[in-house]
Amino acid sequence: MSITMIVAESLDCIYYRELQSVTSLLATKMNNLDFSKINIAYRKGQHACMPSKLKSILPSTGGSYSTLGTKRKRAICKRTLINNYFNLLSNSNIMLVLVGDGGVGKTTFVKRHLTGEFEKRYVATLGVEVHPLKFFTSRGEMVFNVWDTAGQEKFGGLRDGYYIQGQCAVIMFDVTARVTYKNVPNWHRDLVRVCENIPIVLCGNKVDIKDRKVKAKTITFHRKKNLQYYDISAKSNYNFEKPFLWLARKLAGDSELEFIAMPALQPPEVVMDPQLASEYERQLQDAQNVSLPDEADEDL
Amino acid sequence: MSDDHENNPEAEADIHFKPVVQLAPVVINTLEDDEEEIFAIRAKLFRFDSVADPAEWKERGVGDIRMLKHKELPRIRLVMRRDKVLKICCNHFLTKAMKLKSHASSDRAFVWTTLADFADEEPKQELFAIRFRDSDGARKFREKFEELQASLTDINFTKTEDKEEKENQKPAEDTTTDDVSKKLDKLTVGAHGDS
Repeated sequence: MSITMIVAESLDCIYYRELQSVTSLLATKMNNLDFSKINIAYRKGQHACMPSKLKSILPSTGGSYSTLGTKRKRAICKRTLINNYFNLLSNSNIMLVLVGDGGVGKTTFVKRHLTGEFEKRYVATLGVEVHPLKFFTSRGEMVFNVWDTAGQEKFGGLRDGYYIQGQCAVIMFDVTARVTYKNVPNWHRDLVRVCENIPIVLCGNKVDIKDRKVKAKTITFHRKKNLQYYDISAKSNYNFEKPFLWLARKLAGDSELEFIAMPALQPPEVVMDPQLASEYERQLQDAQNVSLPDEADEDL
Repeated sequence: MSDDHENNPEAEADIHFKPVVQLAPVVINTLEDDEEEIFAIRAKLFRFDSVADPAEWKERGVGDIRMLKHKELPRIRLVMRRDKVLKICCNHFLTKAMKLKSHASSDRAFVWTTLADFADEEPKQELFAIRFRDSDGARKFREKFEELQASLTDINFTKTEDKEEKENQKPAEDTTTDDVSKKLDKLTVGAHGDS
């Protein structure tokens, strides 16, 4: 199988991270991914890192490295590569772009869907992180490849390069910080400049917080621009499925589409090694004394 | 109607797009046809992340945790799906070797460990904690958990160890966690002796 190329930017840390993230995603998604066929193109820049560093990402690669292209062209190459792969896997893979100001909760929202966890700490996203989010629907499995982008300007990476070939989008703001709502038109403008006429959901996050600053009646931007709006909370899970459900309905052209129960495969039977058992027992004793998060349990 | 729309920013927007994916309606089986639900209760599940620094409990999902008994085979599994998205966050067999222990700082939470949770469709060793709305719910869960455990024949130990286990474990309901811990120590020692 012939493979296009993964394009690295001038290889400062942001792009290096992106490349790692994208490569590992590809590796987990593709069973027969042959790294030797991947060529990496990069532009020599002031902070160029050595091809040896790239080789550590693509082990034992026989692929070549070359320099080429404009920033835009490289972004397109990268995006094309990834989408080609996902399209090979299944036609139910959808690229979703997630944007919004720094700190509004984009990564926390994605993690909530990925593992169920709620991350309180803020760690700014660098460049972009791509996560496949799978849903079981009345029309089969749908996978959103979520491009979780950096909200902070200084960590922005390729910016509109991320939007190329986006098939749907979520713009997020924080209802406790007015400025993040004020910036929604900017995110929207940048997005539709690249992706014309794709379904977009606007989400006001953190509605669990009592001191709400952006009141419901002041949220009007979406009406002029034909977006769907939801109040959400990644913390309380309020409406947390709604953005994906609405997008899935639009993308599949079925307003009745619903999420359905994921099949429960038979788990493996594992023979317990007694030594291992006592090791886990010890771990459990430690864990038993670590307190559990968030005792309120309003959702129980 | 229009008033409603004015005041409710979440009103369904009347927007149409050309569908991007062509997917036919399907029926997806839950793969639970051969099992019957013995018990179900609403709960919040956590998994212990020992890689994090400091190690911590991370939420795994809110929904019903269910005990499913196979109609023919001596198998019981714990299955849990998250609310609304209905994705599996817990899926592993209940075994005799498991020990449900109280969490140190809560009277409505337990911890246990499994070698092979299959929620992510690959076997993972997990430390789980589960919390219920109140201590009453917690008590019911524990009773059922231990009752079902007692009904199982142990698949996790070799034959000789199995015998020893049976001798040591007569009235399962009365078995406190401490007793089980001691028993486990014994078993471990036994295994050393054998090898």
